[in-house]
Amino acid sequence: MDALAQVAPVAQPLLNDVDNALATLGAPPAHPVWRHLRSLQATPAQTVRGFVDMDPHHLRAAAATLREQAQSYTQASIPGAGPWDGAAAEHYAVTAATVRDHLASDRADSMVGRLRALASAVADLADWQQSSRDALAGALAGALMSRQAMTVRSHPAVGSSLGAATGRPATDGLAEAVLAAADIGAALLSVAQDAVAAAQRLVAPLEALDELRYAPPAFTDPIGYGSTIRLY
Amino acid sequence: MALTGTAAALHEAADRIDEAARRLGTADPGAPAFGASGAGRLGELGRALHLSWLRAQDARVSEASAHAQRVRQLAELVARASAGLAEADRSARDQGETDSQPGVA
Repeated sequence: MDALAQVAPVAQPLLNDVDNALATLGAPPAHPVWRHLRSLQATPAQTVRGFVDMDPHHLRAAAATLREQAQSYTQASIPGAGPWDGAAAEHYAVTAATVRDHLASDRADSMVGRLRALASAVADLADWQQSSRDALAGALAGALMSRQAMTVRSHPAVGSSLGAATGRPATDGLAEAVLAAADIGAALLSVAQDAVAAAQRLVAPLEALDELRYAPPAFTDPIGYGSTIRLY
Repeated sequence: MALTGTAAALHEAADRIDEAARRLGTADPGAPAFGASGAGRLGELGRALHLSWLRAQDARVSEASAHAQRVRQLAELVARASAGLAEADRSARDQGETDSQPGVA
């Protein structure tokens, strides 16, 4: 269980209050939370939930499967020249070498190269998920211990449970509570926005891995009826 | 390696690649693993990443299926050559035995 999995349940009541404040009371017009909300199209609670649900272990397992298959390709035996000779044997040897290279050469444009590249792209995604979760966990922990969290949680018009227990008038300190909720929302969404921006560089490597085309050897001397095979 | 051994090795390689195609086809961790169930931009990003993964995964499966078939065809060519040689060998032996029998022209 990583830091986000531990802190997210603790932070859920605060996140609910922040979402509730933003939805019902809004935020100061020039507050940065509006920019983040427009950009991410999701509330702080929804955004945190999205990262909580992303478990990098699933992608790491997929990357491991791809690497296993790449290893399996390298172990496949495509015999080269055999104990025979002649035009047909030469054609076989050239074709076998081409088939072997297409399958498992060290070049990027082999099936092994494509599998390893895909495994690497998926592992990079898993790393991104984990670093994003860690960054968000840090921001959540900071929010939980902040003065703004106390302000939000203790206000009767904003704090869903603690606020009602204070017995304060709902208008007392309302502007401060609204600002505090906006600050918390902006702090969390800022981290999420950075994470989403960082993920853009991970899309291209995945999209580049289209199907590898096989290029058969070009023989200028097709095997004819006169071809011979000589056994050693 | 005799021709029959070469053909057998090629069939084994084709089976291995076929098995890889099957396993690759089941390697999808699902859309939620990419964050596709998230709200807003994060969910959009997750869905785009999952779609790109599916295309890359399909490409690997197609590569493997096509190559397994290619290797199998190569094995069959070798097996046919081997069968042809065996037949020629049998014919030559039969001819030799016939030639060595007294009274046969």
